[in-house]
Amino acid sequence: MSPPRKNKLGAIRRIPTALSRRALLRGFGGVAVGLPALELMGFGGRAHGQSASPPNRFLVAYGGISTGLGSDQVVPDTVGRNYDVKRGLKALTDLGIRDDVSIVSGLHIPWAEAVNATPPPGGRNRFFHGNTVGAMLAGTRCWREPDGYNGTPRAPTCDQLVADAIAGNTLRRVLAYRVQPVSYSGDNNALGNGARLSWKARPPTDKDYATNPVMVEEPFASPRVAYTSLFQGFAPSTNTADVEKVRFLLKQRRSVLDFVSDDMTRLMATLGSADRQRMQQHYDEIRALELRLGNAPASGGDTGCMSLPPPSDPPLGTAIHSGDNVYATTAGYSNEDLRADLFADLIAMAFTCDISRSVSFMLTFWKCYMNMFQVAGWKSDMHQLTHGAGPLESVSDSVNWHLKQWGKVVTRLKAVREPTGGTLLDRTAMALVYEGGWGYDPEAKRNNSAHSTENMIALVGGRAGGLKAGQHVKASGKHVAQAVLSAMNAAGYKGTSLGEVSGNIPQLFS
Amino acid sequence: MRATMIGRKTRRRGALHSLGSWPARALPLGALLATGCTGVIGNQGDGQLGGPPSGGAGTPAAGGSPGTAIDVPSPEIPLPGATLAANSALRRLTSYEYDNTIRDLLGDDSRRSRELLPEDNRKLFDNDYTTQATSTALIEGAELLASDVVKRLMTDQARRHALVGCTPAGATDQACFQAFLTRFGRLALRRPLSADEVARWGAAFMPLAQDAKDFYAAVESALLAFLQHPELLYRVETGAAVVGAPGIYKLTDWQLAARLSYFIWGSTPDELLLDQAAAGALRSPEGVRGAATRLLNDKRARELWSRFHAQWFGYDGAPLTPDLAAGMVQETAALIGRVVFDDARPWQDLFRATETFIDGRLAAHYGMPSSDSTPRWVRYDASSQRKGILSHASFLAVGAKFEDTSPTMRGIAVRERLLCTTVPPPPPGVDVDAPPLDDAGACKEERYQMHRHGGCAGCHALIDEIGFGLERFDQQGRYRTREEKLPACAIRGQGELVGVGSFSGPGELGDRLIQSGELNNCAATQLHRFTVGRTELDETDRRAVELLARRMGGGDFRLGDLILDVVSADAFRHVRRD
Repeated sequence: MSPPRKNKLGAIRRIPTALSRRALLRGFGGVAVGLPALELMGFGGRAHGQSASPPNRFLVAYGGISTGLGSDQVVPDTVGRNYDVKRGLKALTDLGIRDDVSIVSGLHIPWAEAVNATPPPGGRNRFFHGNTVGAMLAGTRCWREPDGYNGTPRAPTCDQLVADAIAGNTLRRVLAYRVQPVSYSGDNNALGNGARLSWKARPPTDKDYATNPVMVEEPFASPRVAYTSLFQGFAPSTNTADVEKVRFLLKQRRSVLDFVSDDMTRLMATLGSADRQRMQQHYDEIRALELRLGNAPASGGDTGCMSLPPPSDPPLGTAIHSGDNVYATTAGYSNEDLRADLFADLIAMAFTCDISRSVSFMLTFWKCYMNMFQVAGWKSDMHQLTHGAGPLESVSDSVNWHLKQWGKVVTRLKAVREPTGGTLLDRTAMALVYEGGWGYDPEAKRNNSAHSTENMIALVGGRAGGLKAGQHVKASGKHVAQAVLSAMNAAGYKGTSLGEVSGNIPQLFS
Repeated sequence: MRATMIGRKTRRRGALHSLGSWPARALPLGALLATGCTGVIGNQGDGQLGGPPSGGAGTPAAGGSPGTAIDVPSPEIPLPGATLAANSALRRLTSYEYDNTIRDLLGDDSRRSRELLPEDNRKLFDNDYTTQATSTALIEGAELLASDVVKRLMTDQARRHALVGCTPAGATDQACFQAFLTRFGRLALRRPLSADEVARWGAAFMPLAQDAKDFYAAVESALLAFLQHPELLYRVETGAAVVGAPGIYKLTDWQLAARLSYFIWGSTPDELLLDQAAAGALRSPEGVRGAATRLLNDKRARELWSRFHAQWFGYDGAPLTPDLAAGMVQETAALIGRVVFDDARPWQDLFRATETFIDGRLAAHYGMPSSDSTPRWVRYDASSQRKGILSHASFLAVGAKFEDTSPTMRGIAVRERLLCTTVPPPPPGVDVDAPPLDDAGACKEERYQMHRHGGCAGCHALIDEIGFGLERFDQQGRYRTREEKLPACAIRGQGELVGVGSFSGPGELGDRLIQSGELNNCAATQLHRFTVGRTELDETDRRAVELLARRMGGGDFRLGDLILDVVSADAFRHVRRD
């Protein structure tokens, strides 16, 4: 183990020896990178006056598919520890993380049967797609639009609430990332809220506050942009020339942003009120970036986190939905596997460097059209597989693919040793939820449908806050949001409810 | 390269059709849809004009109708005036516009915006400012994008020298830097910088040159600021209040130049257009028309208007056979380029063309005789049922579902996009994601019988019938006579545009659409949406669309002429702010 070092504020932090840098960097470009001349920085919450005690972290992830088709290959037969791993959870054994993760089964989201009926608390209207995100991650009903698709919760999502509780002075209150960069559906209305997972409180002064108290936290879908956002100010080495170069670049960026924001102020004075408000949002974001740059040290420190080699974004895939000849090619896939690797590395390092403590990690869009031929040989997209375009095994493989991407973060965190002992995973609570389960579909009024919020599952990982990892908990009748709330509580959120849903799942705790 | 013909004089065919001249069969189309469906349905614009097309199908050279007479705008029907100026707001450049702007300002055609910037929500066209949102991801993506572009420029000495325009005498050569700021600033911000502004830019960035002992550090910093500057990222259209017309503002010459170039090119004004703005040449309708004619004769217009059609017809981003996709996109772009620009034919010839631009591979895909490795115009066989844009794989890929065509989705695309009717969502109890029922080998038309009962029947009769008329063409545009998965099922390929007539195949569907008399009104509506950057139209918009449609008449029109009409209207040089 390396000797402890003191940063400028006296906080002791050890270089994470349990973390193989080679392993951490594996995802970048998909090529093993030798120990680079990347140097260490003082950064983050603790460097800003937090206690030396390692903070907790939180991550919530989402996969935009249902987990079954009349039945599933996900829920273990065994309850408790040493649970059996079926095809849909195979990544748990492949990655060696079964004992770090608990599976919660028997979950559901209530619904309103009638078309115009108000859903029950924490429930959804009968339209399936787009109306489970708010229920699961904010514990609220979603706003209903005439066509049933909206997906806006009525309150901030769990990542935002946890950040309120534990973010401290970290530079990034919440990191919102999305692995699937484009929708692949090939029409002109492909994105919208289907690409969004995190919603933050809207300022009460905002003109839209009365009608919608939340606003989106737009996810980063480019690993390159996400990387640049995290590691601005990191010097590639401690040699004087490199440090000087970074210092100049930071100065240049701040000068540029300062000038631009000044000109914005001048311009806003000439605009009407509606335009001024639009420009104000842009101005606020520029100012926030300026502040982040202002807080980023320009030279190497010694608190134990390190920059990573800048990644390249894999090319964007094209639309899908057209037949075997398309599925059998690169359409509908943007190398999401590599993108997930890159984001997992960034998340691990953001936690290590204490740049952020709360992450929203959207793996795929709701109603996901990603091509499964690329990753598991099924000639269809995930969405059609859940509607019978393939056998149950194809759905299970889709479920497992999501778990594998989420599991990459688990493995990264497990590999990082905290200065005070244990690993980052021990101080993290993470959840993975899926868009649906299987069972009754009030939209089509039939059973055994993937458009169902019966028989849902959640994966809860990490050991923060006394989480008891590595077990199968049968939580029949519980709401998915209760599993999410359990992870939130473990991370440090003190509330006893999430939106309209109360109570965590006690069996998840020691 | 063919000579572009935009701006040539058109022949007057005769008096404009009056409201009373609607063909009896065209009128009931919207009404049928309105009464036959559950929910609200109807034409979005009203006051359509109609009339039988004068052209008819098929003509020699281009397979279009070069001899077709054009409705010349009637002097009695004025262009939309200032009081019909559209409501507008700050419009952020779209990813496409930003990439074009970078290309035209800096000669960098890397086009990375879509990768690095969050995508805005889209309803129809990607320039809908009402769906644009600002976020941390956007701001940081834009910063990285600018940094990438500037980095590439600074390492290319020839390009850098050409851009700066002078050779600095030293690291702090103020004169050279100011000359650069003055010239480039006018291009980037689409207006001249005042002397004070030039001094301010100089004062902000020259110290960085001093610090780095490198003149180009200041240039680099200024470029980064220009590329993130609000007046580059947004189209600022403050204008000046018009006396006696509350809420109406007249655009400055510079703002009008920018509006013109982004409308026709999807890019920033060039030096000549800015010179024309500076000289006051855009203050008259004739001046704007002249400037716009030049823009339309540039290849940037060809690309923009091809894209406009792709978003309008819905095939932008449609799933295409990957190894043929480029050829399929080129096929449709070539037809639009020829009809709208090269030959300045009636726009309706997009639906009538009996030739198509394909190479041997695409010809083989379609089952047409051609083995050329380079694309050329190939004539359709008269019995092929193919004619015009609706025969292209690009359009026929729209609405594909469950690895097959969806007659319903195709019908909805035609109704909503080409006829501008609103199709209501399915009634309760319908799961549109459910795959077709496996009815013991029932043929597709039999399976769709379920749509013809109860509450479904009203709409589906009007929608599915369009799709069934295209059924002999699969989702990649190949001709077929039997169902792929059920070869025992012969495909009739007979459909109907209810209220207009029956048809078989995309060629005849195009004829029926022209015949419906509703295509022009929808064209005016979609063009207006694209012009104002807003899908949802208000009452003022509807009045402006109605006026435009009345000028177009019910017969053939040239898109180039229509665009020139739009930009020379007083409404185009004004903005409304309620």
